[in-house]
Amino acid sequence: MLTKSVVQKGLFGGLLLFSACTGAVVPSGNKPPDETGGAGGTVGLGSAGKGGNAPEQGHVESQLSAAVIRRLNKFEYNNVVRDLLGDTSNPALRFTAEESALGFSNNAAALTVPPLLAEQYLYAAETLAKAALPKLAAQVSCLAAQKDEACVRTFVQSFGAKLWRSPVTTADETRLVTIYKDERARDGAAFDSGMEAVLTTMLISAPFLYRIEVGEATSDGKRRPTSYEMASRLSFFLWGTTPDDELLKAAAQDQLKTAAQVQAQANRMVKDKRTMDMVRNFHGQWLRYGSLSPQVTKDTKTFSTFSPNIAERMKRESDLFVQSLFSNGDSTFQDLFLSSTSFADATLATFYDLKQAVTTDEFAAVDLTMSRPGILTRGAWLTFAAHNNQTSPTLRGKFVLERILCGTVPPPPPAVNNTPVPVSTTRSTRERMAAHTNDPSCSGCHKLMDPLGFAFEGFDAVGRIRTQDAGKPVDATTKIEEGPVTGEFDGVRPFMQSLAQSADVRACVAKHWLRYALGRGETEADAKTIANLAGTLNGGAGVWPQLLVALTQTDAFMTLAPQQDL
Amino acid sequence: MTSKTISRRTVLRGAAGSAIALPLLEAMQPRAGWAATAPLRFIVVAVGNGTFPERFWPTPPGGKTFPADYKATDQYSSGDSFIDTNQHTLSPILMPLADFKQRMLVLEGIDNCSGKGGHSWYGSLLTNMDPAENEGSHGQSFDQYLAGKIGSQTKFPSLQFGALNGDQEINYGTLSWSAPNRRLAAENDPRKMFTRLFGNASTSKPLPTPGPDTAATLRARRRSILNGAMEQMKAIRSRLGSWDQQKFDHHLDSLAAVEKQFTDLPNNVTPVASLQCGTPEVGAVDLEQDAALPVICKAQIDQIAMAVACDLSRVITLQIGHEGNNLTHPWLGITQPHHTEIGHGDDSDLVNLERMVKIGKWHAEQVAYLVQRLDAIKEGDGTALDNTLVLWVNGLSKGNAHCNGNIPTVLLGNHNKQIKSGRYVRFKRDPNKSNYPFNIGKNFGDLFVTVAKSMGLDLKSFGDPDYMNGGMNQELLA
Repeated sequence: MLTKSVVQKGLFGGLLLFSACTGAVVPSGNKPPDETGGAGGTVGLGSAGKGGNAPEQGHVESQLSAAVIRRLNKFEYNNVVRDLLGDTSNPALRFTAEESALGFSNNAAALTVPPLLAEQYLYAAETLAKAALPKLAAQVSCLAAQKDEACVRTFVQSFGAKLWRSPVTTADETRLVTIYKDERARDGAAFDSGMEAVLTTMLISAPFLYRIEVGEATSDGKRRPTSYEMASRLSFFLWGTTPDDELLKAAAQDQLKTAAQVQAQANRMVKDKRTMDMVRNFHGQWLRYGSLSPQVTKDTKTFSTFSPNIAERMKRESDLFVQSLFSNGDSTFQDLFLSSTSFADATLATFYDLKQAVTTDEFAAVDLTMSRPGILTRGAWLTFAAHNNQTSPTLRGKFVLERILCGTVPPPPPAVNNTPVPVSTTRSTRERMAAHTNDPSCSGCHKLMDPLGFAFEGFDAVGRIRTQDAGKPVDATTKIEEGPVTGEFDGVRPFMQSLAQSADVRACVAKHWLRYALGRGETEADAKTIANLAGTLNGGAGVWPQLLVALTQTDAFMTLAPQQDL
Repeated sequence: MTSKTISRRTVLRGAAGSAIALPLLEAMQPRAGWAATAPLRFIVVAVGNGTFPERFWPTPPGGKTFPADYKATDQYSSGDSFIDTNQHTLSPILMPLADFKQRMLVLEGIDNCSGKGGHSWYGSLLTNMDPAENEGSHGQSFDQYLAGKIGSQTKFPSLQFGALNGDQEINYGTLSWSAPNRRLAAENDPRKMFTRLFGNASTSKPLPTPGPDTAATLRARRRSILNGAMEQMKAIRSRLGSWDQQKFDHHLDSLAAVEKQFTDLPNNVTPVASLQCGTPEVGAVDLEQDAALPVICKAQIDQIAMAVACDLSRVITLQIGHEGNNLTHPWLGITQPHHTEIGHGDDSDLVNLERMVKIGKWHAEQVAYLVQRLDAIKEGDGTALDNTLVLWVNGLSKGNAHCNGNIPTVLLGNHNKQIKSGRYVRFKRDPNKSNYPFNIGKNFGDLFVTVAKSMGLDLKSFGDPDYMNGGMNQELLA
């Protein structure tokens, strides 16, 4: 469909560093941070053109960067039907496979509606409508009383406006009433049957499934979302669900036009617990540990105490960790990588062998001390980024490179045996991975990844602290020679400190938030926005909710991008 | 089409012991009048994560197991081209297909496009076109080309079956593309697939109450609802930007396709009642769990056979998992995730390689079961398998090398004797080609033009012309 071509160029005016690893691109790291925090956080494309390896995380302009109409993804669909229809069955989980792109399952270009999904929408809507109508009588009383055509109109104008997140036009009302009448005429169906047809139609209609944005002209020649459209932008970004009554009220009064009005709502919204649903969803996808449970299994011989039960708790631990960043007024950017606070129940504390005893079945805050700084030393990520029977400095390093530093490496070259060396009782992970350093055909790419992962060697493949590896003291020292974060590090803590200080890391975090908030990849026009957001992350206490609010203040959020082929 | 009757049902036992009640296809009467003009069909079975090449390719007559001194790099070596008929020895992975050796073609030397895309080139298996950089956009897939040519003759132009083909990264799990970036998703739930196939208003769906209680009424109601949604979409469409309009067009086409299913009395489909089909009952099995895969595959394959028997569609795909899937195979005693642990396993780890072989064999068993079911459907003097071509492919060749070159490719059936089967064909792979080691053999486009020819279609080139290398008429056509 969208016939945009790929643009291969460095952004931010930064320098691209093409390393000895053909096709890899890493941030240059050689441009000093400026006041806005927009460092050389620059990532370009790998080898483009026919047969090139598609970079996963490159700073690309492609179809996936198109500001195209957004439809509800599974997460949002489930939240919306929960909030509006009281349905907690998560019906979207049974829809056909969802494709994610650029790290997130809300990329608008990737969310198409193939025939099978259109059909599943219909069946889900039928089931939802049938179950919801008795409940909705509490909100629209005529559903239980008058049960006539006038009631259909009342329903469409009152509850229908919530479902569609904007007033229902006369033409649409007429269309829905026709469906009602047709249904009544069929076999002399009862009122409820007619209403089911109406509600089913509304649930498969474009204003329900999509966030339709037509916009309105601004005085400076741009287009901005209307107040109703902005209400949905805010609620789906910050809450992953439909606007609440207050947002719809503000929209009805056309009070979501100015940056200040939007900011006031955003400030209110980030204090709401629904923001935490979104925060969990974002981090689980960005750092990929969201799929830890139930997808990740471990070798039961090597890790006899690990189980799906533990995986679920690890995920909960990281969920609570990221929630604490966004709900505590004093959290800083550094806390993401350095905070020693975490959460555990008795089962998880025992699994980790925590010093601080936890005796309850409820998750409680624990201080993990200096040994476990930040989200990347929590069990969920460490366990996700590992093999099933051993650690993987390569996997961990690759994830840090891609998700924290916004670099890319190509897939392993086909003609090279790139597989992990079997676990040995006599040779440590470091020794077994020596070929990655010594063999020139490996080292070009692996030196971009492995050194980043070596710093985590003090944690085993299920996230427990370890001091021994194959009978030898663990070696978690590392020397990182390429990329924005270089130097020699003795273990994870100094490495995390370096990440926490890095302007490139802030730019990369900001870029992932931009992708999530806008449902698209970044474009060249977003460079300044990303730099500004990275600057926001320089702030002090309370910086995380501030970042969310700042995102709503960006040009990309406040205006509509023109749709034209590049 | 004449009406068919099924005298009894069979109860299939899945791995978990759950019962799946489906009609016994052997009981169907041969189709009168199709002896000379039985329809030709194309079915694809796709799996992911690659194979263990040394245990996949047959042994040529007098030759050694592929390749004798196997190393990872050997998959790019040229190898002499040859065509063997019946003299080769099947490999361990292909052994489950031994009963069908005379009707099987093993094709060695086919690259998927450039051959170097990795997992995300799974989406190109049927397009013969590299995906656009970092996008979901492909050309049309070959099955959809066929659906465009012959699909209007059946209730469903094509059908996409899945088995745990779950959420994935873009291009990791989509085989069928009706147009660039228009993916066709697979139905993973055999029960829902049954409803689609046989029950426009199947009794398995709760009927709205109180209200319409006949299938025809429910169809009319659904048409009315779908039309209402479409009319509104069209009205909104005119106010949108051009990219949004393209997305709406896709959605509108999808809605129209759904609506078509609810057309009254499809003119060429036998009413459900006379088939006495039953909804697959998968018992208490959780269809989301890996352990359910055998049950799901069996139920889906049974339904593919039913769809063929009832001529509901002539273009069908079945995706088992997807590329890069991390399914476990507990019924094989394999609890390691398929992609990250087994697929990435080390060549020197013989225990792991045996797991790869076991999974490959299990995939072959699924294909064998499919052709067995098709072979049980009488058609004229032969069976439905004779008029079908089943293509079994893998997203990768050697899994731990992430290689899309020399894709494991197997064909079963022979399109009414137009394809010469019972053969093992190795196409020359030319290491002197400029882009060695990539794209040095035949491509899938070469296979597709030949398959099209066997179906009476005139197709000179498919997908990217750069990935056409002379077709395969000479080697494959009778």
